[in-house]
Amino acid sequence: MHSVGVDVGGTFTDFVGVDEHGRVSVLKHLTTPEDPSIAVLEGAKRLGEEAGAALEEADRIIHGTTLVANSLIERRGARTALVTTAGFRDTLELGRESRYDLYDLKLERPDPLVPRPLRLEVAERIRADGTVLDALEPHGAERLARRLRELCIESVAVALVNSYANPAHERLLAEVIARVAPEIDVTLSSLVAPEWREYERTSTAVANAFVRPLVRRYLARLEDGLAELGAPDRLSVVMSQGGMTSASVAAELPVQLVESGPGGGVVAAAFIGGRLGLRELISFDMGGTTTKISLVEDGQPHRVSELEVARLARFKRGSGLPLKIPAIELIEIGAGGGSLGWIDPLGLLKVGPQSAGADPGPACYGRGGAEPTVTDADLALGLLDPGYFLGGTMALDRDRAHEALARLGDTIGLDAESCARGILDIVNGQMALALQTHVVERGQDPRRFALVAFGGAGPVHAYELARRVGISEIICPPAAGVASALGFLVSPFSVDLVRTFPSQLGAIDWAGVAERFQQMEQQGRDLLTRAGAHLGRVELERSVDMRYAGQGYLVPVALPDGPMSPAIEAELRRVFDEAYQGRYGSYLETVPAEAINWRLTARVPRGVPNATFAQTTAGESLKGARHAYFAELDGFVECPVYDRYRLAAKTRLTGPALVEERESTIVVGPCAVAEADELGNLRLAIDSGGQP
Amino acid sequence: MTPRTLDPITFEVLRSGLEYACERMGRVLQRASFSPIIYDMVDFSNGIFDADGELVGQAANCPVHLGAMHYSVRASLERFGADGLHPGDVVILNDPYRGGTHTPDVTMTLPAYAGGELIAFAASRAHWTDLGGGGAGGQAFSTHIAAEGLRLPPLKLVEAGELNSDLVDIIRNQSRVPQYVDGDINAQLGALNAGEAELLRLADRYGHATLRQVMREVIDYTERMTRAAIRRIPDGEYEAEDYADTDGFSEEPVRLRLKLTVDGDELSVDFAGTDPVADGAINSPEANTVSAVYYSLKFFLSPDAPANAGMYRPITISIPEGTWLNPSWPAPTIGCTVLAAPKVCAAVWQALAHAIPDRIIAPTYAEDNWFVASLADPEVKGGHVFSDLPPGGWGGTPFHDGMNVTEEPNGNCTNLPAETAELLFPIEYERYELRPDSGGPGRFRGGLGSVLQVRFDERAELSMECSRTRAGSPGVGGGRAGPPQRQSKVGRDGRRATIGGLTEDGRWLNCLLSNHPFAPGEAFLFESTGGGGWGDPLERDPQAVLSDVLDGYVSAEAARAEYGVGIDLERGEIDEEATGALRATVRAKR
Repeated sequence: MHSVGVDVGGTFTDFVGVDEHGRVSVLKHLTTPEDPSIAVLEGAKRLGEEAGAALEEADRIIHGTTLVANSLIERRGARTALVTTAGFRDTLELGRESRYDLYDLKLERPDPLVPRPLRLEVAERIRADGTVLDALEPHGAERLARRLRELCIESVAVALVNSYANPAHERLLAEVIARVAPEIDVTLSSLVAPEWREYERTSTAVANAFVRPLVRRYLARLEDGLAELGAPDRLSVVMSQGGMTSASVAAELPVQLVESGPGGGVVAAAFIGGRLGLRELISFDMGGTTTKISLVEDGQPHRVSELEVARLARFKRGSGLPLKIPAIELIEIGAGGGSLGWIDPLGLLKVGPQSAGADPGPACYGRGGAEPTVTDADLALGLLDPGYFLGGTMALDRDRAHEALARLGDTIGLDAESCARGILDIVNGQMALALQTHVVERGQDPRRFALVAFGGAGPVHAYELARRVGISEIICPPAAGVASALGFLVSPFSVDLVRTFPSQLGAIDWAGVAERFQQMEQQGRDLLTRAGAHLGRVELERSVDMRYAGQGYLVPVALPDGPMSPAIEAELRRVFDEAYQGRYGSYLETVPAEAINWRLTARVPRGVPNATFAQTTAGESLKGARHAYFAELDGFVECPVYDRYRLAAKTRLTGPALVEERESTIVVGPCAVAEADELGNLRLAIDSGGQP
Repeated sequence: MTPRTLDPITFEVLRSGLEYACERMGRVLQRASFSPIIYDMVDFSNGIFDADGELVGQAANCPVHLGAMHYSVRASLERFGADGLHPGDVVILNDPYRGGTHTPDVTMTLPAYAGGELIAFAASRAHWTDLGGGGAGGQAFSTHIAAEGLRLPPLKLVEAGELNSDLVDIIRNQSRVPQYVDGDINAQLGALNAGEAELLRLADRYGHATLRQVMREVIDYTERMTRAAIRRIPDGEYEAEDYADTDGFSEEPVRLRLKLTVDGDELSVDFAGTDPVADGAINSPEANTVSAVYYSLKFFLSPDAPANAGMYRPITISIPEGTWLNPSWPAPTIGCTVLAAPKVCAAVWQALAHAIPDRIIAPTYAEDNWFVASLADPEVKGGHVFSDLPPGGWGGTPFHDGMNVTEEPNGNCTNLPAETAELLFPIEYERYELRPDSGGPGRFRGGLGSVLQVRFDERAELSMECSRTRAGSPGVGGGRAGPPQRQSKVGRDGRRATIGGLTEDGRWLNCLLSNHPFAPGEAFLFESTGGGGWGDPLERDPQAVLSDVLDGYVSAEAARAEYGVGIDLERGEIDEEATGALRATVRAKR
């Protein structure tokens, strides 16, 4: 066994193993929500036994966990304190003062993770330029540390004003607390998120402190359990930015794990596309409750430096806790197989974001769900086979789907079929708009991208989505149901670092910039070493967030090659103007530009055997035919149905056709031609004759 | 041939397409803009209007713009006529008496054409940092609107794709921050182009006729939703009044009165009895007053329906001319969006408290507390313009306590972070925290206000619009007001002196600060009020009072005096015996 990827989901914990020859084995094990490490260990053992993959020989066991996200959502964490500059203990509670719903009188703001009595102040002040206005007195720091002990604090976040510009006072506090109260975990905002804007930095430090003891204990249990299974010292954990690190680094910066799992699918999409020579991709993961869309540009998942978690209203920006951490950007939409169709008070059909979830689930599950979902519509329109859902392990009830659709449609004078068509039209329209908006905002044209579709509902809806936004190629990778765990296997070791050091082009203190990059490089190499990487092949990417002087939003650009000196300024200005124009349509020739946040990504790719999935089984791939509905034909058509596992490489299918696999069904629409490739992908080429 | 009504599915798909168009305009504007008040504080709105200038959809940013932007589109249309507008034109304006509300809000309108035919307008309104005038940001508090900066009647900023650079030059010449001008113009034009692109995409895909039809039907849809919601309010006449503490000149409050009448599915608001035009800067042009009524009602009249002209149809608003809520040139208007509008909203909500007591919340701090300071800086010629809107609390609700320190209903700005401000300006934030005991007592307490203290390293002149300095926001249903707002100066020695509001000895100082000077090293201190309380404070759960005391939201003294709850601070428990006696005493005193 070369390595194992483990992704903990709400219902199943997924395992993907790959051996030295690239042979892939897959396993799903029921998640144990009370302690997810139980399922991880049980499943790892089963994988060893059933797949004949010896766990002891695995070089790495790479884990994605929902522990951090769940702990923040459920407010279940350590007894945490916050230390701030005097006058700022309420920063965490005041937030940015805006409302996430403009006209809701019942609105409530999210509770801060640290209640007011545990937010302590210390006398000190640093200016924006890093100079000290009021020094931190050592005896003040000691008094504070003793107070933390009296309050029985387990974990403390220290977030002082302007500490991104000068972390000396935060560091001094850390030293004093470590001496006076060594049992308390200390998180410094200047270490976790050394960027300007006090609320977001404080929020990040507090979240880290809040989950830290929990995560440390969890990872220790896992390490112990793996050691008992004969696989000690090889646990890695996936971070939100898609790279992995060691359990010990993860235990110090657990906030980095908050989107540990979902990014794996995007990494997998980038990897799969990369093997086909495609570097511009849109990853499209449509599951039961949500759809996640991400961009892969030049072979790398697109990343952001801030995200929001634990929202009170799932799809409303501003209702959660902001975190300044690097993360793969996931655009989440409340549209999945379980999304409910409903009628608003004035008789308009709407879909989602409410979902039937897994229980009761869609009406066709026959578990008591009475309202129609997207899956019910898919079934009623012939896109799904009632006898082959989850490989036939779960029968779908077409009559119940039909009844639910008819009942809903009846209230506005639609029959079941029209209601189903409406649900699909609306849900596909929502996804197309979200995708279009996102891609265009990044200054890109969606038609340049190929769509990688996975998740249970992804391959069912990919064709219609692609058609609507003008995408001409879809890749349906094998094992669509375990894409995240597969992505973990190919995750690199990686570290992202940042320093806020604002200066204007033409007057940049390059010695100062070089010094900061040197610090970051040193820190990066240390972290990579601790993550278990061999430093022979470190890839370094330097970038800088820029803006026109006075502008509020920052545009990230790669730092040009060459020595850090005024010599690269002209080129830096050029790439910035170009990036700005790409996003906003024009650039400003006469306005000075500023460089604000300097960023370094240090990455060590892992060598992974060329993963191949089980060979196709011999036999006739055509299993039958059924009537299926296609929007562009405005009706049903008799449509051949194929067994994906029997499609030999290079088999070509002309749409309309349906290709079934255990976890999903690939819809090959009338304007598509599908071809199975040698890596197990099914690739769809769409020619809609220039029709948008 | 387009059918008489669109099928519900095409309708829904196009409706969300229009909604996305507005949202995208907002995102382009915010990200490309130069004024902190736009990019960090989100003081802007974008909308799509049909070819007649009727609002079809608006992105949710700034409610006070909700019912005011069509005045701008109409003024542009009236000035040039449909025949005088052409592809590639953009009309700019900010004159409060020709389609605007107050001078800093600059509106640009772009006519969108498909197949040579005018199909819609995209319009973008944003609050600019400075357009000249007697005080930074237009805050001058004179008796003539001429003091409030450059006023642009409807003018073609762009004609047939060609930017009018003379006009841009004039604007730049008037501004205290000319370096922002090009960027902000660029950002707003970017938003309009994004809106136009989305409209054309929809027209292309579904046809012009269908697009035009969906615009009509979206308006009808909102009208039906609004009427259905009005029917849920009992018929009757409901009266209320509120006031501004001053117009900057008067020692007496400036009052507004309104009568809200509900009759079946129609609603009217009549401002008869409101005080005449004010000398000072708080006057509210008709567009702003009307808009304030709309956004105040939107909370109750199907907030989820698309924000558009359909909401206007069942609502009649009558504002006597010559009152401060319907003035004419040359009355100054700079305070209309931030001061007059919240007072209108507070009065509308107090009127509704009689009609739907179980659905209404107590008034918010009803104020934007907008201050603007011009700061000297030896290193920057012309200095800086520093501005923020420190909020107070929201009113208690029938369901829970009011929100602490949250933007007024009229807007949805975010604050200017201390670390952003300190990078830009020679200042230090010394405190920004919750103000204990500032929430109006009630069964459900009003949210808390804030305390902001900012020290100026260099010479500064500060102007501020403010009110609620005589008394805090009233409660409803037996709820009470919190303490009033107050403006102070803190000297280098740390000593505080009131400069606006009530002094220690009970004198009231005018709270419209006009270019109030600060010497280097002096600090501005502002204490905002909380929201009003909902219901009788003596009915508040003593456990909730205890937790407020432990959190430092409410002092132990206020717990006794206002809530009749005794707290044993050492044990952190309720003193049950004392509480019973206290509540009886407080009740008896009433």
